Parts: sequence; structure tokens; C-alpha cells
Amino acid sequence: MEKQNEYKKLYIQESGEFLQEMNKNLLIIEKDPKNTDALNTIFRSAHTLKSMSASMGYSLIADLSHKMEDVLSQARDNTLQISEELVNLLFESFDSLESMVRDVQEEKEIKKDIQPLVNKLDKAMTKRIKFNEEKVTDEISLNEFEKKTLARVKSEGFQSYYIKIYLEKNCVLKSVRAFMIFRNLHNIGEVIKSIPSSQDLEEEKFGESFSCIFVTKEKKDIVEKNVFEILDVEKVIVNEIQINPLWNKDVKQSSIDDTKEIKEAAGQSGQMRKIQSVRVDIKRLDKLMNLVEELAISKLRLLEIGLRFQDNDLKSVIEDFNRHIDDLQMEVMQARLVPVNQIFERFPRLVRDLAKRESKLIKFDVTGGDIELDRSVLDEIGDSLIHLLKNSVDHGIESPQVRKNKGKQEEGTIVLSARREKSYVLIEVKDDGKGIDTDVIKKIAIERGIIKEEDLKSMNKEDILLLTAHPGLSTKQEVTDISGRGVGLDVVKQKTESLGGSVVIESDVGLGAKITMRLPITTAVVQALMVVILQKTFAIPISSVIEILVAKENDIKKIEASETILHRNKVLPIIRLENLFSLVCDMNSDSRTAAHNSLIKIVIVEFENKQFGIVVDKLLSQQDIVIKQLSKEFKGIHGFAGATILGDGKVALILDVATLI
Amino acid sequence: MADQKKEQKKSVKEKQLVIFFMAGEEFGVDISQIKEIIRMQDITSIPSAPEFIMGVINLRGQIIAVMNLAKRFGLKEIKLTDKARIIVAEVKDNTVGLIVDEVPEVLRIPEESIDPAPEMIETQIHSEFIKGVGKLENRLVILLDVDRILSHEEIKKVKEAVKE
Amino acid sequence: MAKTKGKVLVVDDAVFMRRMLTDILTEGGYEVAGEAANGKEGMEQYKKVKPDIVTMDIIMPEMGGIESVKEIIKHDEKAKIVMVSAMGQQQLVVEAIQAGAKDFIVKPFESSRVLSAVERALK
Repeated sequence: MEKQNEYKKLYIQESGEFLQEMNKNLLIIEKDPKNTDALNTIFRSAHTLKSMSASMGYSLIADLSHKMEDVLSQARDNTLQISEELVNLLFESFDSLESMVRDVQEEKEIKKDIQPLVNKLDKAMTKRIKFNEEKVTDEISLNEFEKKTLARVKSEGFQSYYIKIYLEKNCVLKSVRAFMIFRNLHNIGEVIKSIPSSQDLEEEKFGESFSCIFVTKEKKDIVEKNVFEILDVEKVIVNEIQINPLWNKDVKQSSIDDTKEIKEAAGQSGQMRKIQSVRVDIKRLDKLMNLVEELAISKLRLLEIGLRFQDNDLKSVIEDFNRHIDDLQMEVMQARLVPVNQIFERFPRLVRDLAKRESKLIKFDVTGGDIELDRSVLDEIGDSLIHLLKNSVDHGIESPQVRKNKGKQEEGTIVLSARREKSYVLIEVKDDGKGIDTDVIKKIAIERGIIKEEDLKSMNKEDILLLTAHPGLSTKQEVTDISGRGVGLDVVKQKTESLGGSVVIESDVGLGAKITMRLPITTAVVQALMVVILQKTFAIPISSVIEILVAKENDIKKIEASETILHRNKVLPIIRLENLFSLVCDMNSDSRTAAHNSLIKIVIVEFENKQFGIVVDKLLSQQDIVIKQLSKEFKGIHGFAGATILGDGKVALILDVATLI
Repeated sequence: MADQKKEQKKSVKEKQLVIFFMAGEEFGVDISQIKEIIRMQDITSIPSAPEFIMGVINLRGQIIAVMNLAKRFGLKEIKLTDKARIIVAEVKDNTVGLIVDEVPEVLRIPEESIDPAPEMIETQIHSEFIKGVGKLENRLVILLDVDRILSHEEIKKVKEAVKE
Repeated sequence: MAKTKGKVLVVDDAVFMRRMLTDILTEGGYEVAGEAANGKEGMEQYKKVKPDIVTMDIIMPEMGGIESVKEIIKHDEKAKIVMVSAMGQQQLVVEAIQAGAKDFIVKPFESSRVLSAVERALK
């Protein structure tokens, strides 16, 4: 049962990857129908998906992928033309497969009616051309290279044979026999491919028989004779391979002139690759992370204890221990990083579909897919990116006619890019559409009472553009249509900020727009200022701290009900956590009612250009802390971005500057 | 024959119950709903969280919420002694600690001696949180349903009930 | 002298192996025209005896079998040599064949296999 679950997990994960791969490559084919690599990849994926599904007992998925495999196989043989309809049909099939895999994942019964699709696929297929070598290809599958070679050498008068050789049961040093057979064959022609691979043959990883594909100008009986010359050969079967002339169709594009090169290529791909990576469940990584954090805490305690003993050996052991734990922490963090491509890969398909629906011509470019982000961050931003891309397609890029009239290229461009900047990753969605009209935004924002006329004076262009992400603006469809942006932008902004990042909107009317999400590479660790407020320890992320101010109690002025302080010619609001949360202090709270001229410490923080001060009792240190999310019991509670575990094992809350005010 | 008998005996299903005291009453929870029982420790309170949530603790690197069950049910609280424990339960991927006054024992009782009809019992706890009543030789133990206690819906309901 | 199937030169450092091969080959109708205990001797004997075929051990002192094959082939392109190998010497056998040996037999031998290998090599 456990095993079964394990298989299922793997199945879901892998089939998802295959489908993504298929989608990606079909997009390539849509633009470049001659791209055989892409076609081969899809074919292979469909084939693997078929066998995977069949062995898991998901017969509907297996059936549909089998049918697709048939269709793709004809496309590969060039007996089936790749048309727009075919591409759409394949996309439709992918979707169907995807939804069935999702059913598996959600533990639902697969009940999809795949018959209509199967029928369509059947219809798409031309009459299947039977080749004599079908029984051969059961055992030997020819790749594009090989087919082309066979087709080309045929035109030069060569025959292609499929040879199967059986060795005597008591044959010793089989590998040498195989070598000798190939040497003999080499005298009269070329061995294009062997099964098993030449390496396996060398290492005697085969039974009593092996096969090869052989081209020669000699007759069949000569070939047989040459093989039989070798001792220990029991039986030889030589079949002529029927060549489909279409295999050679675009051979001119191929620069391969010599069968030897092909042989080499085949030999290389036939070799086993070493396993370079293994899959690790994200939950396991989380556990690992937890353990490492525990170790880090033990490390701190050990450091403290070490100080009590004046022992040089102990000291050096602790130092080693320290360094190793730090390295370990680093490694585990690195292990959590995944390339953004993991989510980027599905977007070309999305943009294509959206563009089709809107009848727009769009060129979609993706760059920086190999930039890495913490898995937890990446998991969170997928929806936001969909919003942004959707906005660009629906409201950014104009219709081809409009673009033409404006003197733009009919085909619009959307670029999705990722790049690293210090400890942040910037993800950008840029389009060359109509851009965002700030005048419209100003007008509507005032109409809706989101801003006042006089506010405009202190707002720069960036501020005004950011208004599109205001819930009051961004959720309104009609606003979106006029302004060219909006829907979901508030969600994008919120999400990005909750991950410790920020959103920047740039645009020039008529020229396009660019929206940038600035995300921390990992949310797991941040630099924080540790403070004590009423005997409780809190962490304030350094990124939001501007400076630390020491002031007199009577520097704080009351304006109406709120406290403020004048600092660098600015009036900053002051926040006392005890008032905000009615913190209760075990100690006599009188001790806090300080004299008017006593000194107090204020941490000045900033969020979105708004500064304010937080009154603290004690400044402890600046250190790296590991952010832990608070469980769902605390959802909806403002003011905290999570918690962290201190060196003594106690828990400290992390203040969330964004929601404190 | 002898074998058959043995098998019959085996098929009598038993439940293991963790028995605990809270506000002077005796309760039980199915051990399968419980991850572990730990001693009281420093709880970091979370300002503006619901009253019955006492805060968070560090459970071997995991930060979990701790709630006071007595407060949760609106029972009369008894000052916690060093017998107080935190019962750690895992419900739907969420780990939560429940503060109780004392955890004296773990009992094994046959499933058939658990009565699913809680109406007969007079208790201060809302019947929705009660899974059943376990009959022991000389006493009855109220079985709580941890899943329900921790589900959000129920929390809301309790809140509303308190308001009324 | 009775007509034989051919003259054989047996090269092997072990007297026991030479003896065994000689017996098998004589029984099979060949004339063992010479023996050598290493590759260098083998090479000298080849020039002297001018055998129709050579059986050549691979691992021998002074000059090994592969080296000897190369020398002999250099001297006589048409020389017919059958390697005598132990199990697990695939690589060496392949090397010898690349150097010009016709075939190989594997110790411990079966007389029929020795004879058929020699027979084929002579063809």
C-alpha cells in the first residue's frame, strides 16, 4: 500500500512534468512545424506517459496517450502533415490528459469521456502505411537521424539490413565475438546502430543474441556469410529494411555527411547517463530545514556553555561544529532553491491560448528561467504571474488592426523575465501594448474618493501608477478596460508584499507597461533587529528599519489622539505596542511611566515611503532569524509576519511593519 | 476450535484513550488523534488573538498554537499546577497544543463500551464536540472529538454561542 | 612423412599448456612444428619454422602475446594466429585481434573448440 502511494506520488509528479514538456514542445512546433526534436520529445513523452499510466491502471489516460502516440508517430514519419488543426487537437488532448491526471491527484475516479477526442485523433490520421520493417521496429526503433541516413544511403545504392545474431549457448567472451562480428561487417559496410549499445556489448550486458542495423552494397547472403565466419555464431537473421523515401525529406538541412558521425552520435546517446539528481519531497526538505534550525539553536547554546569552560579543545571543537552547522544550513537553503522555469514553463501555453481567444498576435519571450528562488516563494507567485500576463494580453496588447493603425508591428510582444539583484529576484512582465493612462487613473481615483485632488501634488508618476493596484480601482472591470490595467493587481501587490517583496509599475501611454515583482530569494531567513518591549522579545526585519532614535519622553507630542515626534523636519507617528495590542506586563507597569525627561528608544521604520516610530525598551542585537509562519489559528491577526525561535528555545514574534499602521 | 476462539477474542476491538482532567471534569480522547503529551512550557502570547488561544510554543523547531481548552469551552478555569500538560494533536496537517490540568493515565477500553449517545450525559460541553461516552467499571468518561474542537467552523460556532 | 593438416607453432610460457595443446593438435591431424616459451622466442621460431598457424598465449614473460603478434604480422602480413586467452581478458583479446590475430580460444579448452578455431583461421 505504501509502495502504491509512493508510485502514485511519483506518477503524478512525473506525468505533470511530461505534460508540461509536451505543451512546451508543441508550442515550438506550432511556430516551426519542421522541428523534429520537439516532435520527438512529444512523441517520447506520450509514449512514456502511456506506459506509466498503463502500469498504474489508469486505462483512460493510457488509451488517449496511446492514440496520440499513433498520431505523432505518423507525423514523425512525415506521413501526416502538421496542421493548425492537428496542433489544436493535440493541445486539446493534453488538456484532457492533464485533467485526468488531476483527477488522479485529487483521488477522484477518472470518468472523462475520451471517445470524442480519440475519434478526432483517429480521423486526423491518414491511412496507416504499413512497412515491412514493422516487425523490425518492434525491437529496433529508428530515430530521425537513422531514418534520414538510411533514406539517403539508399539513394546511393546501399541496402539497409536489420541483423539479429544468436551466439552458441556455451560461447565464452561473447563481447569479443560481437567485436569480431562487427569487424567482419565493417569490412563490407557500416553498422549504424547496435542493440544493446556498443558499450553494453563491450561489457557483455546481453544474452545470447544481439542486433544491429547495417548498411552495405553487398547482398544478403554475403552479409550472412561474413557473420557466420565467426566461431560461436549459432544463427543469423538478416532482414532488409524498407525505406520510406519521405524519411529523407529535409535531409538537406542536416549537415551530416558521413554515416560514421551518425554512428558516433548513436553510440553516445546509447550510453547510460549517471544519475545527477534525485527527487526530494518538499515536506522532507521542510523537515530537514527544521532539524537544521534546531541544530542552529543547539549551536548557540553550546557556544554559551563553551564560554563557561576555559578549554582549548572544547573551543576548537565548538568552532568546527559551528562552521559545519552554518555550512549545513546554507546547503539546505540552497537545496530549497528551484529555477523559476518550473512555473515559467507553463506560461507560453497560457499566453498562446489567451491570445487566440482575444484574436491577438503575440510573441511571448521568456528569459532568466534558470534564476533560482526558494520553493515556497515560487509556489506563491504563480497566480500573480497569471494575473499579470492575462492583463498584458487582454488589456495591454492591442488588436492587430489597432496596432497597425498606430504604426506598430501587428504582432505584440510580451516579455517575462527573471533576474537576480542582490538578495532579491526581480520578475518582470513587460509588454509593448497601449500602456496605462495616468490621467484616467487620477480621474477615477478622485471620483471614487480613493485620493483627494490635493494629494495629487505630492504624488509622482510611480505613485499614481501604483493606484491601479488599489482594491478600489483594480477590481473594477470598467476601470480596467479604460485604464488598460487593473484586475487582480491588488492581489499581486498583496501577495508580493506578504512575501516580503514589493511591486513597481512603470508605463508610458501608447508604448507599453512593465510590472516588476521584487521578491526575496528566500523567505526563510531575514536579518532582523531584536528588541524588547515590555519584557517580550520581538524581531523587526532590518529591511524596514531606517534608523534608531534616542529621544526624550517629552519630545513626543500629542496631536489629537495620536503621538508624534518631529524628526528631520518630518512629523512621524509613534506607535507603542502596548497600546496597540494592550500588552500586559507581569511587572509593575508603573516602572514604565517614565519621567518626562528620561530617554526612550525609538526604532524608525518605513513602509511604502511612510515612516513611523516604534517605541522599544531595549535593543538587543542584529541577527539572522528564521521566519516561521504562524498557523492558521492566527489568520487575520495583523501586526505579525510570523515567529522565530531564539537561542534559548523561546519563541519571538516578528513585527510586520506593513500591517502595524 | 481453540484457534477460532482466539481469533474471536482478537476481533474485539479496543480503543486507547488518553484520560485528562480539565476544569475538574474527566475527559478522554482517542490516542490516534494525539501526537504527544508534553510538559507545560513558556508560551509566547500573540496580541489580539482569540482569548482561548494562549499563544505559540516551540515544539522541536515547529511553532504551534496552544489553546486553553477550558477557556475554549467556557468552563471554569482552575489554576494550572505542575501537573498541567500540553496535549499535542495533529488535525488535517495542522498541529495544535491543548492545555489541560492533568493527564493521569492512558486507558484501553473495548469499543463496544463506548456509547455514542451523549444526550444522556450532563456536561457543560456542547454535544457537538463529544464523540461518545466511555463506560468504565465505576465511572463514565466523556470522549472529545479533537477534529471538531479544532475545526474553524466550530470555533466560529462557539464564538457565536458565547455571544448569545 | 604423413600428410598433416598444417604446421603449428605453439607459443606458451607453461610447459603444461604447450603439452596439452600439442596433444590436442596432433590428435586433430596437425603437426606441431615448434614451441616457444615467450613472445620473443615465438617470433624467432616463426621465422625459422614458417608454420601455417600459431597459437599464442597472451600473458608471457619477456615479450607478451600481443607484442609478438604485432612483430609476426610485421614480418608476415598473412600470418595466421589464434590467441590463447584466459577468462576475463576480453580487452586483451580485442587488442590482439586488432593487431591481426584471427581468432581466440579460451582456457580451459575443449579440444573440439581448439580444432575448429584453428581450422577456421586456416581457411
